[in-house]
Amino acid sequence: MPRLQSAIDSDGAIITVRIELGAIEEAGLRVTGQPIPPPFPTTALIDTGASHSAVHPMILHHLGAAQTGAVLVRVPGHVQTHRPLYDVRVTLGNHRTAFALQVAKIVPATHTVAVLLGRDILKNGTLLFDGENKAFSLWL
Amino acid sequence: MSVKRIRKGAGPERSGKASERKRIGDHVEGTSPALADSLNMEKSLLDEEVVYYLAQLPGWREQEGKHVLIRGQEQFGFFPTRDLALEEGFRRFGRVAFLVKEIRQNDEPRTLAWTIL
Repeated sequence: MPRLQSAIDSDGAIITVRIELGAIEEAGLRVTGQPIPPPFPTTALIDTGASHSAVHPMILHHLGAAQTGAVLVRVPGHVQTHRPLYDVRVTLGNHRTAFALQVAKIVPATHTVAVLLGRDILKNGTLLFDGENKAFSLWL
Repeated sequence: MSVKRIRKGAGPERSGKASERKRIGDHVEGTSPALADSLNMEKSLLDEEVVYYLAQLPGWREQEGKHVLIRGQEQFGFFPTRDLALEEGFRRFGRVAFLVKEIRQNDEPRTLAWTIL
């Protein structure tokens, strides 16, 4: 099981990721001879409190990803509402395997990251948060 | 590989209420305004489809667990997997917004607070 390791900085457990179009959407582009948008490298915050991963709108716009879903969300102090979902692939660090995810289109409150990695991806592995040594490891 | 990391203070939340947030130790003030800004920023393109889905849901009890493909006020089939529904959606409509949703009579809302904070 490959291990990803990084330092915990002031924003938390940060990891580099690459965001790509979902495989089915990309296959459609290939069939029609359209250009494939390159993967978008950026930084992500590991968020064990999030059920869904979330991606900054700017990245989804860059990829030209089509909205393909909606999820009912509840926010304390707000009415329940459906939020858009997008099918993308997320590759962590130098990991070879991309994870297919439905991500929400959200601006994270932490301005230094553009992606929140939620439990939809963390459920595939083991996370060790070593607060004393300001480091974390993720086995996927 | 160059990694694009957004600078602190950059991005669409820079103006308005979000800019009023201040870090105090490990806490962030003004979480609710930030949350509201995030939620209001991008309106779903599928409101019409969601309304149609919710209206039809009681009549789709026998399709529970399948994935329905909807565009506008019309459904284009029920599929055993999300991928099959997506393939059909992209084949029919191309790269535009369409709704693929797993049919659940009791769809529990997801709490987003922890996603944003």
